[in-house]
Amino acid sequence: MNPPRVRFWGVRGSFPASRPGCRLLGGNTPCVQVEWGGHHLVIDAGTGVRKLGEQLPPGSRVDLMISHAHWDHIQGFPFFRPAYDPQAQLRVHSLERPVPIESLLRDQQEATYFPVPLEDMQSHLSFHQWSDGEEVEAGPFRVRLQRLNHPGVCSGFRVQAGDLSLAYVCDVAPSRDHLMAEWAGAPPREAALKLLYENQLRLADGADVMIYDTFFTPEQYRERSHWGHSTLEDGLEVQQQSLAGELVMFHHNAEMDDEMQLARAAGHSGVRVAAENQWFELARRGLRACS
Amino acid sequence: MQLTFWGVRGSVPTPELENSRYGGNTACLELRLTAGHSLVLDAGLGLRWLGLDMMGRQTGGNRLDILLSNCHWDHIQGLPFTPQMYLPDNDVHIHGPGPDLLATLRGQLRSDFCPVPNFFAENVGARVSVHPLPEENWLTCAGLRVRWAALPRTPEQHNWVVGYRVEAPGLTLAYLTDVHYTGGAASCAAAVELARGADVLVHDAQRLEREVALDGHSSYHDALDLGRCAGVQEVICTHHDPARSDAELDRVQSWLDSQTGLRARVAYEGLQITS
Repeated sequence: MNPPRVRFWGVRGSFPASRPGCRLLGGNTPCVQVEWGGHHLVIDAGTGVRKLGEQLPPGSRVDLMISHAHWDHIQGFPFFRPAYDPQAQLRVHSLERPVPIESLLRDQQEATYFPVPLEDMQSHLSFHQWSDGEEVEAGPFRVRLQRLNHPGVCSGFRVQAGDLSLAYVCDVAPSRDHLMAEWAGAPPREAALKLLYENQLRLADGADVMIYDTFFTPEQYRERSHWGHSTLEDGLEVQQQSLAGELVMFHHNAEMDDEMQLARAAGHSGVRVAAENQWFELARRGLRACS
Repeated sequence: MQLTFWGVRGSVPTPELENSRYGGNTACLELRLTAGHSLVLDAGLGLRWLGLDMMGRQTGGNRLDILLSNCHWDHIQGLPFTPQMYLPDNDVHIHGPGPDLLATLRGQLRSDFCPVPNFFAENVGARVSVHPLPEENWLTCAGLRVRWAALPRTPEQHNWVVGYRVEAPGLTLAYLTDVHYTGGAASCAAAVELARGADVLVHDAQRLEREVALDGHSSYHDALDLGRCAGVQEVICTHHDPARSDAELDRVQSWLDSQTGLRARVAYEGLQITS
């Protein structure tokens, strides 16, 4: 089997950024594809998932992991062509939550807001909820979900592809200021924050690649620490503590030009800035651009 | 009086390299009345960039009067991402279809989907008021006379969308989007009436002729047919399909240029018409 391949179809946070300063890295909201042996693992269904869907062959088998239901992570789903393909198999996975993802996706396609209801998506579509720390078999992949500190319910993913691994740690706030995650049976604040930070380390633990929410600069974080996002500096700390390989900056702020993102990464070895429109091989300790 | 296109894309924002000249933001058209007051047609993602632009125009509070053609995402998704909604000195009036308009718009801000301050509540952000369309077919909006009509979206009777005619000093604007004509645009009396003699007809042209289906959109041909039938001065085709590239839209513009008897253009972000 060829090595696993990775492609970013959407790297932008909050809302799609269709403006000149955001064209180098791409303006679509989050969507990452990991392909191995003809099986497609897709993380999040931001607007990037629309173009991914156009590239997948008919009858594809897709496991879609949804981190949480904020618009930028689900707004591409109604435009994901395989969901309408009667031959395709689409399994949607997420962390268990009071209002399940299936119900939220159905509401997104309610007639007031969208012309085609979820019921008219003709693929073999199934929804699966998992608890914090649970592991999912998805074709050749094993994927573990861990709860993250973000408003409401959100999880990151640890993807194991044979002896290679990729961590998706997004959307996430550091554990030092605000407890934003909500769940039944949560321990008191300090213990919950500690657990959520340890979850970041569990996801990243020795991973070859860690995709990380680096939405803020430290100055921006100070003003908007309650928004639920982190900085590159937070990511570097997790990378160091977890002995993860390459840190991939992700969930870029549409208010910052791409040159600024690249400047933030410059000078850090082991840091890459996620960009659309390129295939990578998942390799030992980092992504390798496909020629 | 200045008309500016801030979002010309239909269905979903498409920030792609191959369509960056025409633009990837969803529907939003501004009629600028003064530096601090604009009438806005549809609140797609283009509204964000309009909102940012307004912040630099003057220092006081701003007023926005927004007319919604319908509440599909591509016509309302700019609201939570527009700084104007969060500034306490601003007044925002939203007019649109449906007795549940407020509930529909608030639904976008459900915490599951969008953890932002609820600017529809009192004392949060701008002073926002939501006005379902009146029973009569006209209203006063931003001090201007505005006529509205229910237009067919699909062949089913209950499925309709709102078209507007704004009569501003020196500029009569007709705005018809997400409309589907069974039997041709010229046979839709409500559409012809709205557009009659307008200076500018802004019309949905999501489809190419060969793509026309029963799906709630129009083609360039429909836009031109209506423009001719209603005797408008200029037709602007907007609400481009997400898959429509700059190269394809250039070809459409060339085709429009070859038409006689009517000026017609393909809308792009930043297109301005001054009267």
